[in-house]
Amino acid sequence: MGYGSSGRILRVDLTRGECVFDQLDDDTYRLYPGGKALAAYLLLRELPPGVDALSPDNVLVFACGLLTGAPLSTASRFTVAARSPLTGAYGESEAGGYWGPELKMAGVEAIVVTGRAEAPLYLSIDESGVALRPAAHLWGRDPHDVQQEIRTELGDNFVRVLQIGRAGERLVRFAGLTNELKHFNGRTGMGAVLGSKNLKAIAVRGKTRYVKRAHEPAPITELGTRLSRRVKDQPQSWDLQVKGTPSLMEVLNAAGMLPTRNFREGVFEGIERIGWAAYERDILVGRGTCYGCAIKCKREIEVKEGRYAVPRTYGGPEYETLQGFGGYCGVDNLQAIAKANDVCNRHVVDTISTASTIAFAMECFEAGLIGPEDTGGLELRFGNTDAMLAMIDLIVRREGIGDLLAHGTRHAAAAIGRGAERFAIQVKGQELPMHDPRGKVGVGLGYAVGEGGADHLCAVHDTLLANPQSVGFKAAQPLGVESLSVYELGERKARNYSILENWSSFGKVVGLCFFGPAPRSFIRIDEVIDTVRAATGWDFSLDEALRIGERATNLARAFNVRCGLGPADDCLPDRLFEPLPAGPMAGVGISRPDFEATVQQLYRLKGWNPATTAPTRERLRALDVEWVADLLEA
Amino acid sequence: MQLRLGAHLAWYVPERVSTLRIDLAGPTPLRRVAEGLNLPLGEIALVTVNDQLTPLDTALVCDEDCVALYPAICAG
Repeated sequence: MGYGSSGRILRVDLTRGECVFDQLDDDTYRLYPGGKALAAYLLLRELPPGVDALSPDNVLVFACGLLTGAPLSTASRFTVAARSPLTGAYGESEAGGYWGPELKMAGVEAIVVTGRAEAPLYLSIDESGVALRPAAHLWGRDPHDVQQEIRTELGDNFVRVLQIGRAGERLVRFAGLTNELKHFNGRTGMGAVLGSKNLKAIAVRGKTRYVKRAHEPAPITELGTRLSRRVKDQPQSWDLQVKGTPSLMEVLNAAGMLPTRNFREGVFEGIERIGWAAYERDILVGRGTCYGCAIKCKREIEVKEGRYAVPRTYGGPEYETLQGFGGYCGVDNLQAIAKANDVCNRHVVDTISTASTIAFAMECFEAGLIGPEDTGGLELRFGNTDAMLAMIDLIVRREGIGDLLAHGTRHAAAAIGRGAERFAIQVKGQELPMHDPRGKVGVGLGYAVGEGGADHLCAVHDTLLANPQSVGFKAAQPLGVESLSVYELGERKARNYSILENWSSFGKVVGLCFFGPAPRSFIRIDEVIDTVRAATGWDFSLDEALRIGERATNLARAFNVRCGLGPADDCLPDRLFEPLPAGPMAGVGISRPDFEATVQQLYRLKGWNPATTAPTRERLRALDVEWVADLLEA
Repeated sequence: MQLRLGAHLAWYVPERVSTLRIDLAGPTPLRRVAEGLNLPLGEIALVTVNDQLTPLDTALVCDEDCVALYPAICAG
């Protein structure tokens, strides 16, 4: 095996109770060097189409990135992937924290889980071996207690625990995973896949530092040192450290594009009560971070007393959660939002989909499509804070209407009928994050074509490239992108999006956080390439990086085509084609014909058949994965 | 005037503060105020004067105005 990876893949068959190691060869490693690429490769090869996401036959992959665990800021991410129970399509979710680096230090690049255990189990891994252990006594308990119990059982307080919560156990289709209690694989329902397999947790302990496997350690450690100093000297990374993602609140509100009341509006009148200034003043108590990261973008919060008391245990709300349980549900009570975040994190359920599903139900209630008889008497209107909190519990417990909502908005809308579909703000079944593409249409392209459904991290947002004099645009220059208006659609926007998507996809392959590389943040593009070169010893270039990113996206796209998805699934909710009613962006909507034409242009640029969205054989051959064409034609 | 600097624009001013009081003798081009603070104009994506969106290049501000400047910002 080459440098930068042990090449070891752990295969766990829960039905048989067997754990065996497999070894990647060098050629496979170079094509699919980790994270998203390796996960998509394994899923496409090993998961037959048509398998139900919650059946024992679903294949679940955990994959470290090529740089996961390297001693430099933002190199902590890992991927969890499977067929998604929320979308029925390719499901993938990344997280930072500490678990991925620990897995890498244990000498494991990926874990492939198949089958279903008869009773709840957890998996423990260290450098001396692997074991499946009983977990029935951990089922239904809070993550904090589960983590402590596992550490006690294994006699090691430094074991890193990745686990599901009650939402995953109860198969809520947007359940997530958490590691170290504060870091989440939130999206696409991967927690429910673990729950369906009776796999409660994976505990990992490793001791072999990343640099031991690197071809040339010195440039990596030197960059790590430089980045630690650079955080405060670069405006974007400084902002992430000082304010974190809540910084977005007032900017998006001032622009008139803060998703409010289920994307009906773009300005929230309660912004002063839930924006960053209130956050810092009223609930902030500290800052947290991921493995080796000097940015420290995580917020630590506490609400000491009262009905919305929140301990520091499970971290503070990020922007998506803050606005999701804030303006998106019409709520302007910061402590209650902190409570909603705490409850979701305690049950380990995706805050974006949970908040969006509740906002959907609120709009259904206000439109008379559901009533108090459906909600257990709750007046589920926008702004009803206590109804919102009660609804989280109902979803996680799968009681009453919560059982329906636990399937997500697409399913719930179909069941409610009578036009409820127009209130389900989702793509491919996954609810939209808190970014309005009416003010940055490239984000809409990502929502539409993203293989996992609506995802705001498919590519850097248009806003960063709108001004040719901006820090973001200058940093993006090596990628060959143009400076374009946030509203522009067409061939040039499709080209920009395609490049930026390949770059972001590469970040998910190597395990770098979205907050690391330029143009979003403070690691220059050439530094990323040099680091991969130092880690692997490869003659590596930006061109190869973009090809790796593109290859990973094409594998996921092929997975979706095999699942029966096609052009009709690459769309936006109707509401986003309607103009915003008020605020700075009053009257602005997305032109449906222009948007659909741009999606077609994107297909052409990507080499995808517009009739099926399948990558063409020529494109797959150019990406050195012609075997995928054989699979698609079989 | 009261000046609010959103997100990372505060990084460019001394003490890195988000709110400043600036005394103006009379109507002044906002662009000149921004240049006086050494704010890079390429980073200013959005301007509000008394909560109304205003183009930076044409904005005239007075001592009693509340002004906010915001940079282009991305998700996470």
